[in-house]
Amino acid sequence: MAIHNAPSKEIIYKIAYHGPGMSGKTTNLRFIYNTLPGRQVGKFLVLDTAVERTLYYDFLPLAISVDDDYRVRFHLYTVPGQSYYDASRKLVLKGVDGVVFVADSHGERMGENIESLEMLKKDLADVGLSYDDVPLIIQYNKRDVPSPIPLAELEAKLNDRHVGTYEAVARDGVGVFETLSAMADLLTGRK
Amino acid sequence: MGLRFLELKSGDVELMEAELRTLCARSGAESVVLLDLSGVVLASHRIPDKIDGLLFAALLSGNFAATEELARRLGVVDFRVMYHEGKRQNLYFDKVTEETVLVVLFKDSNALGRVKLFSEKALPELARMVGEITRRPETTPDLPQARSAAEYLARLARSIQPGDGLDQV
Repeated sequence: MAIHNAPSKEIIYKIAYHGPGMSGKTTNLRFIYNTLPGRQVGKFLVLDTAVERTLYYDFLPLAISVDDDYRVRFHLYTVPGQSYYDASRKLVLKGVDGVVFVADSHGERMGENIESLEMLKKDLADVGLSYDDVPLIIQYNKRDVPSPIPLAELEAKLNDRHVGTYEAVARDGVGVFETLSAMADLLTGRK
Repeated sequence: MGLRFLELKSGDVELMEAELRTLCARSGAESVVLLDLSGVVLASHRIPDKIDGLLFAALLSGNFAATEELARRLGVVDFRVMYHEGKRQNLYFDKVTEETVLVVLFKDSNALGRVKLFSEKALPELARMVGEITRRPETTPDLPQARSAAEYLARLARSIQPGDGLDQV
């Protein structure tokens, strides 16, 4: 649940980046961390394994100072993609305000995208949230791979809620801020 | 859109902090934090300067939630306390409500029993305060400041060129 602390002029949102293992969730956060000015971004916490797969989660806090001395915080988390990190995913999804689903465009990974989306639905239900209601944006990452999955196929198989989608090459920063911005618009009601 | 908000009003944080200050003094702890398990500090007393408060909250809540899940899978009923013993400092966790946990950092020269005793004494009052906040009717406040932040991110998204930031990776 988002927090509005009027006395200290602070608004806090929690956003989780979900998706199959190695789809580029941590890469999204790393690009944001490396691009935003230091005053707007806190320490980047990465809890990964020896093979660079997220073990527990990554955490990146953003703090944007706006009018009236307010600070708007977006706490960005990634969840471990592998199905056996079930418990870690749930602890990140607890109290989440919005979800960015990062799908992998590699041709052979459609099955893992679908499996991960099903896990998201189940994980949300397990923490008392509804997939049908949670603010959601889908990012189709790795659009630069040879013969990526056609967009129409990704849409048909992953976007059952007809939410906003963004093509991305997170490694190069393409689509990273568009995705984050779209999520911020959803959460804040800007659009 | 109707995003639900937890509204902290004037006096909420001060009351919780006063309770934590009392607990800190009675238990001889170094610092005390009241955390929401989604990873947010609701109130604290003396978070050490060397620790980034946001990271502290994210790690502590993750730590407690992971152990809670392990306990659930092992069939441990009513898991609510966790303790980490270090060489010089220790951490004590005690669940306040379903969604909040109290974390006490204390030196090894202090006794766990003392920390546990005074933490347990503080729990009912902290639970009452948290309950009062969370039982308030759900709100969907109009927050132009939040929209300004979203507008900032939108401008950023329009201005960033592919490859920006990569030199710092």
